[in-house]
Amino acid sequence: MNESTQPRTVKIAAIQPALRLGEVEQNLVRLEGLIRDAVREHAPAVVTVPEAGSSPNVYAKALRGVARPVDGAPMQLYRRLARELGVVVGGGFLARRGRDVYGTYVLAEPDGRTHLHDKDIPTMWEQNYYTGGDDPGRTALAALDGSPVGIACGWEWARMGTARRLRGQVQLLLGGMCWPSYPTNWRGPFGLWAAREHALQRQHARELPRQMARLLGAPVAMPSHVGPIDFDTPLAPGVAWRTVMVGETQIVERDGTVLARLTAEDGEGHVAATVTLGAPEPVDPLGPMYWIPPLSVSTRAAWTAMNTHGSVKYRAMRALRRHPWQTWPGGDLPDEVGPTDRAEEPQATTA
Amino acid sequence: MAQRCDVVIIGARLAGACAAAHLARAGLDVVVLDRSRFPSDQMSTHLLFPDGVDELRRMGALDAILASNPTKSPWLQLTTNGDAQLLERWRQVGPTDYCMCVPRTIQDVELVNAARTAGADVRERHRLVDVLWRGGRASGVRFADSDGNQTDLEAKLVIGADGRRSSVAASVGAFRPYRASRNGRGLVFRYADDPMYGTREGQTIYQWRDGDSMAFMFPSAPGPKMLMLFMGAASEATEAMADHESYWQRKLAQHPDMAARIDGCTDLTKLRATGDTSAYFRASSGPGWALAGDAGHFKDPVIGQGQRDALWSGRRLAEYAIPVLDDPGALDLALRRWERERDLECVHAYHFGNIETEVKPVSPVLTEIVRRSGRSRGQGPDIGDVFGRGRTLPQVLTVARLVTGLADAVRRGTGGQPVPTTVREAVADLRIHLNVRQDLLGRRFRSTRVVPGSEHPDPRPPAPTRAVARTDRAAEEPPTSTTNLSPRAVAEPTDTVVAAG
Repeated sequence: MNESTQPRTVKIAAIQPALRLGEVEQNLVRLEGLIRDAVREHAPAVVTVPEAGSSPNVYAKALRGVARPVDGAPMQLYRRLARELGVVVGGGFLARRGRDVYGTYVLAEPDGRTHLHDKDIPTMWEQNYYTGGDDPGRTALAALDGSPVGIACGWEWARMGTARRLRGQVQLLLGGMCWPSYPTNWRGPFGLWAAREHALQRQHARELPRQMARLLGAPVAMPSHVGPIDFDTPLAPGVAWRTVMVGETQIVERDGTVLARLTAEDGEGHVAATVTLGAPEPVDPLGPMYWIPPLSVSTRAAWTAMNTHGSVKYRAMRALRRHPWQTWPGGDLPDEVGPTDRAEEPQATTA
Repeated sequence: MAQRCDVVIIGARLAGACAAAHLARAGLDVVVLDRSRFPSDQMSTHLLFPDGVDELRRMGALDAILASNPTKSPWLQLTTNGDAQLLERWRQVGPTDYCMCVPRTIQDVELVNAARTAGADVRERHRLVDVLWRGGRASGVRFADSDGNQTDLEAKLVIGADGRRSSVAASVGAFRPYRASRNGRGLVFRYADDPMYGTREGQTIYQWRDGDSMAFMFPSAPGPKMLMLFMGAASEATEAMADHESYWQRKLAQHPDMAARIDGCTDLTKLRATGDTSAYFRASSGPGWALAGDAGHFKDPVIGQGQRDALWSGRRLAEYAIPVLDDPGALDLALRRWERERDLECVHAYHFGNIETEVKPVSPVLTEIVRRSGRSRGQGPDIGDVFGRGRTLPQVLTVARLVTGLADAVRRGTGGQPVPTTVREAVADLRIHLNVRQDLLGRRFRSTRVVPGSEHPDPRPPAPTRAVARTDRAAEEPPTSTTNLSPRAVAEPTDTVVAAG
């Protein structure tokens, strides 16, 4: 681990955007505005937006068209803003990398360094649109004097395995969350059940950043999507799933103190806080459980069923070359790209 | 307040003017910015094979260029070591069955006129300051006019057609080629009046290969002008500039058939030369931007394909962009598909150029292939297809043909070279050709694999043109004909460099 031995502080801004399903280019323009505004207001060293910054990840036909080349517009946005604004910019998008699409999160540094992480397990319906990566989700940020940093996306935040992988290895956890809740438009017994699950989801989202910070003994910044979202119900054609993104953008100190927070009710915006980077000091013990929060039986069942459904469908479509991105010319970038000149940014290539 | 258009193109020469003409003809609002004032010269082989001439016709520039009385050259004559020789016609493309070699001062102004006639707004002596960005996409440019006044111009698509030292490539972060190969040969040329103007010989593209040197003669414009060209080792560019006439006489002695052909020519111009012709592919498409012509890809001018590929890439880029210009996601995908098509169109010629630029004696196998073609194929198109793009290099130089050539060479005595040496060299050449075939079959997008024997990775790609200060008034600079010198070319006393082979 290449961390400095003396604790130091760093100001982080986290953005909670309300993005539109499938409207990649408009969403990126919106993110640019929010990032510029956050940097102007907070003057942070690091600013992050959630995973899936190009479009919320839900179950909808529009998701088939939101993947972009790994060196496409989302990457350009994060890279160029990092260089122009002189801050580390973090953000995610569905990226075509080589022969697959991944839920990629980028940390772009002002000197052109970029660090990529692919989410390990796409969550439920996300399995329809991309596959999981196998990198460790750890890097070092030169802009933070080489401090080791972890990256987690979506429900990577919610798994004990993530804490186990990063515990003692990182001084800061970045990344982001895209968490649509249970449907709020269902009626009758299904409506009652969904309402209870919705309340549980909000509770879990609220508690997760603090739990992860205490397990790692390192500060965390978790930007999340917010706002209403409508999509289709997996395995139930014609049934609408109308709900909200749970929000809960938080910046949490390594002892679990919540320094800054935006709830679902706060809507779109950004917060910032100064955290301490130093040798990891875990507060809570690791457990043998798979999930950090006690997910309900129905959520666990939905996780298993939708993961299986989505993964089978993704692979079948891939074998049949039915994914729209399979007609594109491919290419990839390495997970770690060193400092570059503005005129010579790395471009996706094929080895 | 920012101006707006559909497409902004930096560079008004081959690729830029061609793209502009096709885009404007589709009813789009196109602005073209060029730092030169036309007519303006540009280092080039000047040669267009029939498919290149046909591109001029398609963009609407051909009639005006023909009005300058260029010589049409429907013939190719290739001679190796004064021994084997073929004479054949070029393969017809559309209505065109001839080559043209028109000086850029005449040609490029007609390209600009064609773009303007199609409806494009071509602004001369305007220079790029920077590419503008919004939401991770190129969203326009900031430019400086001839007085240095800077203006923002928003556009749905930014096209860089500004040559080897492309400022657009540098602005979009694509300047470093992902694939490059250094040249072995340099380029030394001059014009003169052809003593055989008006005859069949005066309408023939000549190529002489003697020892390790190549010489060319292209009938030019206006008649009876002709272009005479030597392609020896790259270091000859320095030698030629140090002592023009000594160099010229030495090369004529090396190429006696050329000396005989041009005997009696008059009005010789001064020599021009360059040793900076390394070949490369740059990433040529991204969100809201594309690099056309030499800005995105350059191949060794020894095969004279640069002008044709620039025109072709400009036209195809326009055809890809026109239907999807209002849908940013679809546009970015179309641009990437265009880049792939360009690669597939050009990579075999890139390898051909890489092979041809290697300075080594004429292979006895090639001599026999030329001899057999000249004897048995009549005057229809054959070897010339590899220059005229009627067929690819692997399609013309088939394995069977290479083997037959070797057998002929062994039977004939390999020109004084020991047979084992000839066989060894032929096997090495065959291996290179097989490597090239493997690369072509792979169809890998932006492949970074080095093809042994063809590619010699170049650690020194051309340096970008000096950027205009973002806020200062732009300094006056002369037109591009003498400003695009790379560090290597500056170090060598050459007077200019190639921009479009």
